[in-house]
Amino acid sequence: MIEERAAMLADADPAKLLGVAPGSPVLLTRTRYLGSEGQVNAYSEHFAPSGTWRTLSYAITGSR
Amino acid sequence: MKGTAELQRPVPLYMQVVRQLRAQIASGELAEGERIPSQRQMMHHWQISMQTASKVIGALKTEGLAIPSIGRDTIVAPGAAARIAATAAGTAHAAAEPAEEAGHDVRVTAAMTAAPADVAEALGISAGRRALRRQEIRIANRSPVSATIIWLPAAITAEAPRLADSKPLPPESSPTSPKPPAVGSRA
Repeated sequence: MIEERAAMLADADPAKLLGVAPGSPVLLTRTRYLGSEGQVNAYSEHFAPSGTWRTLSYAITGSR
Repeated sequence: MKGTAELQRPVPLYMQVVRQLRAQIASGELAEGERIPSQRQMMHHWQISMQTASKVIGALKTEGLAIPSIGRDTIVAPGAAARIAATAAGTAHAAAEPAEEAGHDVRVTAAMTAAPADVAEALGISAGRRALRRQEIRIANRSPVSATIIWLPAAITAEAPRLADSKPLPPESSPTSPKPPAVGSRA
């Protein structure tokens, strides 16, 4: 799975889906789901309007 | 021997054969325990090299859809059809994020449509090729809290036709689906 996240201003289409004004802040998550052969089995764009997400901070520790 | 004998480039030949055999397993044409075509049969039917045929067998084994049998045969693995269905359904379910959260209503629309250029590039298909567009809008307190648009190549849709239904997927359809990483969550 390859995932990208970005805060952006909503274009007309996602704004309409979310019921917010165009230009409103949204969190966009683009995801590519890969099969065992490396092919893309699915691609998704997930939009969440402001106020529905919170940021979590975490640390990954370990040694090799 | 079944399967469309005409293969198309630029999709790797072995992958096209794998897809056909996967579809036959998913539909039950190739039942559990049944012998998968031998390398020689594949070479003759699809006009592919022995190396490509070997790659097909290897890919099916990697996916857990085929196992060796007595002699030099390879057979359909137990539970292979269910594994294909769970994987295909799980792909979209994971993409849509779980809907278990209480109080969420999910409005789904799904239809085959021509893939826009950016989506086609992401899927690795030609622009304008038909793909399944599945739109899921989550509603809480009468307001949308998220919108997800999922695109799936036609081949995936063929293996899991339930994805083309304009209704939410039941949670049990993806028992092993990977969940999105919990970097963000609803407040």
